[in-house]
Amino acid sequence: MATATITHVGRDLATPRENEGFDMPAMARKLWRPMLAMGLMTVAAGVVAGIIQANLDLPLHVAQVAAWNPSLLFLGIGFLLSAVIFLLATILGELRDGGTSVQQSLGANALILKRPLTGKLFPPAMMMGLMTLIATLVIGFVQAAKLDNDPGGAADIGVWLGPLRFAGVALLFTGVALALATIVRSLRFQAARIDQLAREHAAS
Amino acid sequence: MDTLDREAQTRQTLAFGLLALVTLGWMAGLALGFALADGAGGGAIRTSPQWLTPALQGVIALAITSVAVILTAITRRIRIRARVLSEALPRLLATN
Repeated sequence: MATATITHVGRDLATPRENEGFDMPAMARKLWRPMLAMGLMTVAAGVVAGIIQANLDLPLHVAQVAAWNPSLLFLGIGFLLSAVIFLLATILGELRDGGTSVQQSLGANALILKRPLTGKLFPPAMMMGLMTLIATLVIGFVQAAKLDNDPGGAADIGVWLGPLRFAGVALLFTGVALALATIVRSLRFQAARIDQLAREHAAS
Repeated sequence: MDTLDREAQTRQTLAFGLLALVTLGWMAGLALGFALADGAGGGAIRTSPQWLTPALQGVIALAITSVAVILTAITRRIRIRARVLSEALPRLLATN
């Protein structure tokens, strides 16, 4: 059973490399590029929409673009932050694979850090943040449609839509912080593992 | 190893280039904001929130992109570090 092979390395829990289940870094390695491209394209679309908005004559049309364009720009920033989180996951994968190859070169059993709570939490934080930003864009379009026949309702939506956008970005930054905290744990684990191997070698 | 080192160096240079662009971008945005507040531009003042804010968000997007580029350089440096350690540590332990 996998839990029987969990050991202590320094202050962290370690598990054999072969016991790791879902390979999150492998997925992140494939997804960071599309996320970055989508982010840049979305922000560029937002800038173009802003220029078009500045040249519109009808105040209703100006207000309609103003209802959804900030959400579009925030979504672009959200895609870019997601790309950063995927790259941090890629770094975690490089640390894991590099650590494994160093241990194997020493003829030792390849142990990896047992995924800490921060490592389990950063992917859902990122997904929740991104979904919140997608929802704000959809709600922005609903608000723009309401401006025509229900301006009061549209104004009500506008009051809470802004804070919701910031909540989405805050969730994404939470994901970045949690991923960085996982990298810190991984570096601490590697230092402790090298120290452990050196002590074992000196004792033998 | 040399390829990885070159790739890391190129990405680091690219990130610094992007950061220079970001610095120019926010400085230009700030200067434009002050100029518009002083009355320059006429009609541009009225429409400035509609294009200046998205343009500055574009600058933020470039800043985040430079973070992403530097992270790709870090992944290559980690790969180099692992290879060096894999070769050097067994030799060190064998001589002691």
